[in-house]
Amino acid sequence: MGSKRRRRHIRSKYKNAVSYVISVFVMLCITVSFWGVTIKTGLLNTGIVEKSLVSSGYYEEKAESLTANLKNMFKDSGISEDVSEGIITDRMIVLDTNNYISSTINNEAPEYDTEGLKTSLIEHINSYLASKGVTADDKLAEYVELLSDKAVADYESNIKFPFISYFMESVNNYKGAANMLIIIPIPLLLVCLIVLILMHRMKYRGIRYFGYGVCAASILEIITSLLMKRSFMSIAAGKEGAYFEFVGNYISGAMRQGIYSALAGFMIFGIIIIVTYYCRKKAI
Amino acid sequence: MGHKEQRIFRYIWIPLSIAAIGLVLYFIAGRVFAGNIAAQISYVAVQGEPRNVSSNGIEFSEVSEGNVDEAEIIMPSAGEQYGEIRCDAFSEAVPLYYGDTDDVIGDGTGENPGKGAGQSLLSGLPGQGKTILVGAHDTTYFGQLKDVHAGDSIVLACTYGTFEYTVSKIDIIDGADYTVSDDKEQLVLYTCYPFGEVGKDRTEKIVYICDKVSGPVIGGSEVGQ
Repeated sequence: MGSKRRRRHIRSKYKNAVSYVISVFVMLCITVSFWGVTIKTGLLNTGIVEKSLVSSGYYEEKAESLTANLKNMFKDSGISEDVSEGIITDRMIVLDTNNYISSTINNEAPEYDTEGLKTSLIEHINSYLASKGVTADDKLAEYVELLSDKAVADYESNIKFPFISYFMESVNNYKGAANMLIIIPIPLLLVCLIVLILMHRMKYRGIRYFGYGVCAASILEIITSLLMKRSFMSIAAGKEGAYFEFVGNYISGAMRQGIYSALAGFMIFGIIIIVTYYCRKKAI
Repeated sequence: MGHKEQRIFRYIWIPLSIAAIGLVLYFIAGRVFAGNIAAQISYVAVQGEPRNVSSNGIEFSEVSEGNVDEAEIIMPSAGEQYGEIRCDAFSEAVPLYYGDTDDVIGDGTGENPGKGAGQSLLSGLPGQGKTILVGAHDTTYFGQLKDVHAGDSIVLACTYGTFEYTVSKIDIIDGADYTVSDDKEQLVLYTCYPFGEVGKDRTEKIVYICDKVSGPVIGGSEVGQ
């Protein structure tokens, strides 16, 4: 009788040990899935890029730098720098940058309203010349047109947002891998859950061990997201300018998806606790 | 152990212990994965940095044939921009500097992106009938070379003339030694290879050898034409 009880005790200890090992495996599978979700909905998400551009003040800085180019051009031509004020607006930068981004995403050539910009330039220069009492003849009109063409060409080459081309290249290269990271652990998790349930006479105990894995994965996801965010932020650390502020905001926004995944994991763990509680009550 | 202590043990300590095992595994193996992601983000961020491409007051000559008197050319001094490299495959022209110090080409990590591509002081200038050796980091200005193929046209717009070359050969060499030829005018563009693998220790270079198609000759020399 004593040896029977000892055998049952050893079998029970063995069952618990195996259950804990399966819990660790469940934790690893779910963490890998969470990383896949973070990559797909965070790092490879164009929505986060667009939001980060707005929050970083990139458009305002771009408008200032393009206006500065225009001022230099006018200065070289003997025109007052004040003439460049109000030609390049924040709204123009937002529209054209977003145009460039969506064209790149759709693999199309971007189109800008350069006619509008050129007309505005010519009007500003002509009114400046008129205020100085200068009458525009054909030669002067030709020079103003050439200057406007040069300013438009400078605007077109500097409005580009090359980040999006390299970003889309990464999206095309890695979205398949991110999908694999999300999908492949799912059948493994189902197998683990079935094994845990079949192993235990009280089925809710099997589900509880599964829950330990879910909770541990959520904790691990929060820690690793914060660690990875700290390591990624060094790319933009100490660098000035709206572009690097944008890179920092993009990284923060992307890694926040990992935190959201972890919160979803905690919610699932909460449901598991409730289910096991009621199952235990029913069993008693 | 009472019921309360049992529950605390079950729902807090066990998941924390399993998470601790996961954290150890992350530090052993997961950081490699994180390192690769960091390298990719760094590559995209550095390559994607918008550069304010203004003419810097440099006028490029459109002379593309004939002879140019050496006395009429203002030879560039080390560290000075004297041209730009244009190609249909490039999204933006690359400023061309005389000299290839870190001040010109940067350090390739994004902390110092540099000012453009740098020509080796040991090589010749366009039009001199010698090899023109130009390099830049793949994480900054020469990442665009990835889209250049054999047969593509490369244009060097310089202060004294415009030169056109055709990519005749693309080679991958180990190390940084390249023999400069004094017999024939060729444009050689080189950068680190494989492209964008910033996290790895790279010793290979990718070399684009381009034959001269058109452009003035300095001093009336027929060598290399």
